[in-house]
Amino acid sequence: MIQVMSSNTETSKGYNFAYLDEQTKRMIRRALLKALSIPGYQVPFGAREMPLPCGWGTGGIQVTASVIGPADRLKVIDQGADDTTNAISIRRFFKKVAQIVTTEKVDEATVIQTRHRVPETALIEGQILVYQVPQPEPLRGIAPRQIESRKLHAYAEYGAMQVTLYEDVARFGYIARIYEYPVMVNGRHLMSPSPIPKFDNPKMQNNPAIQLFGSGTEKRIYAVPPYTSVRSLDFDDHPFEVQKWKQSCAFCGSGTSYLDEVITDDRGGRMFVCSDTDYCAKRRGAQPGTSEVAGSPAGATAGSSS
Amino acid sequence: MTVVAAMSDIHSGFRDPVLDSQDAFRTVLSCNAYPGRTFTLSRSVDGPSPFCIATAALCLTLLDFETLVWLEDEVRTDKIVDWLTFHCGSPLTKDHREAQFAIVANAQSIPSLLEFRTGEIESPELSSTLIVQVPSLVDGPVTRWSGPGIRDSICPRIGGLSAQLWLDREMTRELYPRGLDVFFTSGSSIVGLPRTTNVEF
Ligand SMILES: [Zn+2]
Repeated sequence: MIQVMSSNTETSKGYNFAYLDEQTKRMIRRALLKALSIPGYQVPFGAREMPLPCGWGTGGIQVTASVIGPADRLKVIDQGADDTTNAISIRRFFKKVAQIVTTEKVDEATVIQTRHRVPETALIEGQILVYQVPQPEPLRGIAPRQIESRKLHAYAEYGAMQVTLYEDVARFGYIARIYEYPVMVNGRHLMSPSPIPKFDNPKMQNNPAIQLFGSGTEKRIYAVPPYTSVRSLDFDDHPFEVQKWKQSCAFCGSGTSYLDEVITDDRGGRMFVCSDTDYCAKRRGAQPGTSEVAGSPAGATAGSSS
Repeated sequence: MTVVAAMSDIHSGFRDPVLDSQDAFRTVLSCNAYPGRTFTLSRSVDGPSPFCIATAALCLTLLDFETLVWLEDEVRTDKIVDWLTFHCGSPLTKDHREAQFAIVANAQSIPSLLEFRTGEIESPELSSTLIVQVPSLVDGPVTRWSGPGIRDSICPRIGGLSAQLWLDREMTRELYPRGLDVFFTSGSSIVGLPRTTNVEF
């Protein structure tokens, strides 16, 4: 009854489907399951060398490679845009090693790998958002050694983090941190949201999608399950606030999206435009809506929600 | 008896080990992300009896030489041991207290959940994952689950479990972030129960 392994998944180029060998994928998959079981906790994993330079999101790529399959449509964004060098390289990589169909539309994507942004378009159940994480430890700078930060997480001793943020309040009158703003996940684990703007932090909370985080250099995987509490740290007298702009997007007129300032000429001309290019294009009507993604995860058959 | 003759007695694994494991993993990932919902595998596998499709698929997707496996009496048969050894290469243990994965077909004879590995305080991921095959995922006493991955609450009706199992699990929840993660299987369907889920029974 033994059957020969089908050959269509071993490419002639000498690497496995999605580049990683099956042993590595299984190891990462087990880590991903434990990460979902302990929201916000950093699970160590045996990261592999990837054929892309450091800083190109090798952690995120390994997570994506371990979950992605032929039925997926992959979107890759860098700072909100699909057309940056980093995003193009990663998309090309998965096209080459897994023949994956790619898209720039959030509505069509089943897996979205991101660096520095959460899409403006609301995600739905079953979608997977993979964050590239350069530095997973929110307590670095507070607990200089990894062994100490592990202890602080183990006993939920996060007072020093609060003190650090409050030093901002004492110095500036507000919390100065704009990126990588620490969050408390499921009321238990302090987590770095990766270098997204704090503008995106509220999108992580109670999101219907699955959020996975990979750091290749630090060899850590962590996760935020759907419908999970993600609270940005703050103080009673200084509640958490996101950035606001006086301007609206010069292209689509959005007054609620994250805006980038763009220099338009050498005489100091400038304008503000959406950082999320897919969202902006959709609002301008440049893309006819063609969502085929079902409203529930593939395979869901039962379950009485009440 | 030649090696070839012995191998021909072993049940097959995934038809396409790479793509079938990927497909099965996504189902398992959904189970852990959305606890209490029933997810059904889209691809079949003919595992050794009494493994149902879902139990066999979970083994092929998650187990290998790095995972120490404990088999409950009903599934500790020569056929299953040969199959696991051949397809997964997993080391087996007779002591459930040290197992990384525990596979159970008769939930009534499962040892107390309090005896399984719940991980270390600084490494809560070093805990047992239980694969518990049950007679039904839809025809049992009503339970109410809430927690991460669940919007409001969900009411699974898993059959074949003892009240003691729920009581013991309730006690392991006090150890959080240590704890136990469970997959219930029946036919080709799976329900995930991570340690974070609060169960009223
Ligand atoms: Zn715009």
